[in-house]
Amino acid sequence: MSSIIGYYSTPFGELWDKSLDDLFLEAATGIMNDLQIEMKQIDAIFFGNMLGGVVEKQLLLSAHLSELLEVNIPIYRTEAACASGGMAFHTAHEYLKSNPNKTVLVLGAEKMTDITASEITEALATAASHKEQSVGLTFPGVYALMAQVYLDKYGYSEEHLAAISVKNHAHGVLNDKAHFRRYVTIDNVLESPYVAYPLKVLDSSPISDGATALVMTNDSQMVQNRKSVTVLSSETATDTISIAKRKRLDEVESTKVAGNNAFLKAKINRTDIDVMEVHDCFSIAEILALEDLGFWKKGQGGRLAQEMVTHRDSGNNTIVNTSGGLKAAGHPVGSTGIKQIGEVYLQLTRQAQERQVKNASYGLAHNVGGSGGVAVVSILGI
Amino acid sequence: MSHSPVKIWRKQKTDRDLLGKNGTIISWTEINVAPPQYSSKTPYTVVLVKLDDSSNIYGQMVDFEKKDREIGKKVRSILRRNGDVGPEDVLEYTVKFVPLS
Amino acid sequence: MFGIVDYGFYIPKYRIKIEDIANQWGKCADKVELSLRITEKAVAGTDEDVLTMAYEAASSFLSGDAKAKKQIGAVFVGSETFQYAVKPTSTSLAEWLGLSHDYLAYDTQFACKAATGALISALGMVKSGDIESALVCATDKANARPKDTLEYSAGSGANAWLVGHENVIAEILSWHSYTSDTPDFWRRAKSEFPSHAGRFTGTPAYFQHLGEAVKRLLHKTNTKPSDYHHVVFHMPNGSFPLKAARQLGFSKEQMEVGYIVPKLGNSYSASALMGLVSVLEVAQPGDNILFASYGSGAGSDAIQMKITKHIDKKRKPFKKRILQKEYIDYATYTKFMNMK
Repeated sequence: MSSIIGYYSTPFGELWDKSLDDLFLEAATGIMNDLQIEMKQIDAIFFGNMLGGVVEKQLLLSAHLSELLEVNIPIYRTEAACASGGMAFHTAHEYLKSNPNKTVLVLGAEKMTDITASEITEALATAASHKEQSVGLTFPGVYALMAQVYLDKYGYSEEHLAAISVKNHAHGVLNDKAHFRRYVTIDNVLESPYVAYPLKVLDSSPISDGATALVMTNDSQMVQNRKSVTVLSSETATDTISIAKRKRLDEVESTKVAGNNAFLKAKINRTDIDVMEVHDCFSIAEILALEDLGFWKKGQGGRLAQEMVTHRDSGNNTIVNTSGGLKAAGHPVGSTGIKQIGEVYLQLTRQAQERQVKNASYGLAHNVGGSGGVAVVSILGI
Repeated sequence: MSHSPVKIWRKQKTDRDLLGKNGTIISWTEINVAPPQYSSKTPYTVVLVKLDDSSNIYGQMVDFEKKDREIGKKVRSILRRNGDVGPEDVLEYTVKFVPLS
Repeated sequence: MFGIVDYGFYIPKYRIKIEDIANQWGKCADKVELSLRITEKAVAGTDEDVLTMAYEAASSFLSGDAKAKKQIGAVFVGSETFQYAVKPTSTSLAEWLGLSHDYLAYDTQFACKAATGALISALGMVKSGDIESALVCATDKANARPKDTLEYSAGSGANAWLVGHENVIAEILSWHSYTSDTPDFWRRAKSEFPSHAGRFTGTPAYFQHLGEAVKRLLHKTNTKPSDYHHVVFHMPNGSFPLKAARQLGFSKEQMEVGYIVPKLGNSYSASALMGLVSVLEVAQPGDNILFASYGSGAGSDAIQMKITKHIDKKRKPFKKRILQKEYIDYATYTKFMNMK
C-alpha cells in the first residue's frame, strides 16, 4: 500500500518572475521544508511537464532537477499533455508497488505565460492530432466539436455549460492558491467572448504558471506521525488522438475504462466518494467526466450541472472540484494532475480549511490528457 | 513551427484523394483564437465531416451561409490554401469544404 | 483534326462593385464606369490563388476521366500572379489532379496572353504526334496598386483547355502571333504591383498588336470579318475591344457573346479565354470563331477556330453560373487580396 504524506502548491497564476526551473525548485523545496524531510530520504523523483520541449526548448528536464536539487537519484518524466501530472503520480504509485520501502517525490510544473496567446494556442494544439492541427482546429476547438454534439444530441444550451464555471469559481474563491478568486454569474459566462464556438473564455480554463508536489511512500516509518492518505487505486487508459476516429463524440472512453478499473481495484462504490477533482479543462469536460465516471447517466449531465448538484452548498454527498477545478484554480498543465491528488489529500486529512467538506473519507481524482487520449483515475481513502 | 516541405509533399499525396468528395457535417465550431499560421483568418469554421464513403475527416468550411453550417448538412471537398506561411516558405494547400448546392 | 477537345472554367463567387472602389478613393463612380464600361469584377477569396482556381477549372471536366488524365503529355499554366518566381505551378496542378508523371510541364508569363501562347505551343506538340493531348490553364488573381486605374478592372478567374485530336469540339485552323518589344505594362520581379504607361497602353500597344495580328491572320486565311459568327478580343476594360472591333470591321453582334468584362472585370491571362468560354456555351457546329488575345510587353495571338458537331456533348453552362455571386466591400476586398 502506498501513502501520500504531504502536498505543496505554489500559487497558480501569471507568475512573471518565476521561470520553469524556479517553479520546480519552489515546489520541491517547499514540500521538503513543510515535511521536514531531507533530499537524501528521497529514493526517486517522478515529474510531469508538457511544454518544456515545445515552449521552453528544454528537454532532459530530469537533469534540470538533478542540478536544482543536487541529487543523482533516478528521475522520471511523464508526458501525457494535460495528464502529465496525473501520470507522474500514477507512475510513482506503480514504482512503489514493485519497490518496497521507498519514498518518492512527485512534482508537476508548467510555465505558460512567457509567450503570446497565439503561440500558446499553437503549443497546446500539440495535444491534438496532426490532422486536427493541420486544419487550424485548436485544442478548445476539439472540445467545442464535442460540446456541439452533446448540446445537439441532448437538447441543452450554453447555459447548461455555464453552470459548471459558476460552481467552480464559487469554490475557487475559497482556495488561497487559485488563479481566480472571484465569483462569476451565468450571464458573465454567456457574455464572455467565444474562443471556439460554443465555448467561451469563461467556459475555458486559463493559461497559468504553477507547480505542485507530493511525497509518497510505502515505508511505514515515513508514514508514522504524519497526516496521510492511502492510495486505493490508480488506473490509466488511452483512446485515439483524433476525435474523428472515436466511436462516439459525446463520451470519453478512456475516462470510462480508467474509472471502472479504478473502482474495481479500490473495491468501493461511487456512492462512497465524498470529494472529486475532475478534469474541467472546459465546462463540457466536467459534464462528460461525471457521466463517463458513472456518477450521472449519459445525457443527464446538462440538467444536473444546471442544478448544481455537486456544489459544496448543495447538501449532496459528492462534491466536485472544491479546489475551483482547472477553471478557477488555474491549469498549469503539468501541475494539475498533482494538484487534484493534493486537493483530495487535503480534504481527507482535514487540511482544506475553508474548503473543507465534512467527514470526507474517500476521494477521486480524474486527470485527462488532450481530448481524452489519456485518462488517469485515482481513488484515495483514509 | 516550421513548415517542412517534406511534410507538405507527403500530405499532398493523401489530401489529393479526398478532393471532390461529398459528406455530411457531424459537428462544427468557429475558431476565434488561433495559432500564428491562422491568426489572420479568424474567425474561421472547422467542420468534422462523415464522407459518403464513411471515413471522418476535418476541414475548414468556406464560402457558406450560416444556414449551411449545421450538423447534418451536406458538403463537398475542394482545394484551397492552408493558412499563412512566411515569405520564404513553401505554400500549403489543403482540403476544405463548401456546402453542397 | 486538331484543337480543343474539352474545357472548364472557374470564376469565384465574390464581386466588388466599381462604384464601391471609386467611392473609396473619392472618384466619381459614374465617370469611372462610363469610361471603363465595367460595373463590377470577380474577386477570389482569402484562401484562393492561381493554383486553387486552375484546379477548379481543370477538375471540373477531368475529375471522373482517368483515361483522359493519363493521356495528357504536357501541362502548361499561364499567369501573371504566380506565387512563386521559381517553382512551377503546373506541376502542382498536375499532382493535385492526379495525372501521370509522364508529361512536360512549364509555367509561362506574358501578361494577359500568358496562356494563349502556351495553347499554340501545345497545339504544335499534338499535331506533331509527340503527345496525345495537352492541358493548358489560364489563371489569375489579378492585383493592382490601390487607387490606380487598374484597380477597377483587375479581377480573378481561371479556365482550363484540353488540346488534342480526338472528338475535337473547336478545330484550330490557323493562328498568327504579332509581337514586338513594347513596355506598356510590366511588373518587376520583386514588386508587388504592376505598373503601366498610361495612354501608351492604347494605340501603340493594344490596338497595334491586336489589330495587326487579326489583319495578318485574316490575310493568311483568306477570310474577311463577316465570315465569323463570334469574335472574342482581349478585354482589359470594356471600351478597348469595342473600339478594336470597329477599327477592324467587326459588328457589335459578333462581339456580343464574348464580351464579358462589364460584370466580371479583367482576369488577365484568363480574360480573353473566358470570352471564348462564353462563346462555346452557345456556338453551333460549323461556326467560325475569331479569337485574339493581347499581352502587354507586347504581343497578340490571333486564332481561327471552327466549331464541330462534338460541341453539343461538351458545352458548359456559363451565363447562368456567373449570376451566382455575393458582393463584398472594399475592406473585405483588401483582406482577400492580401494573402501571405
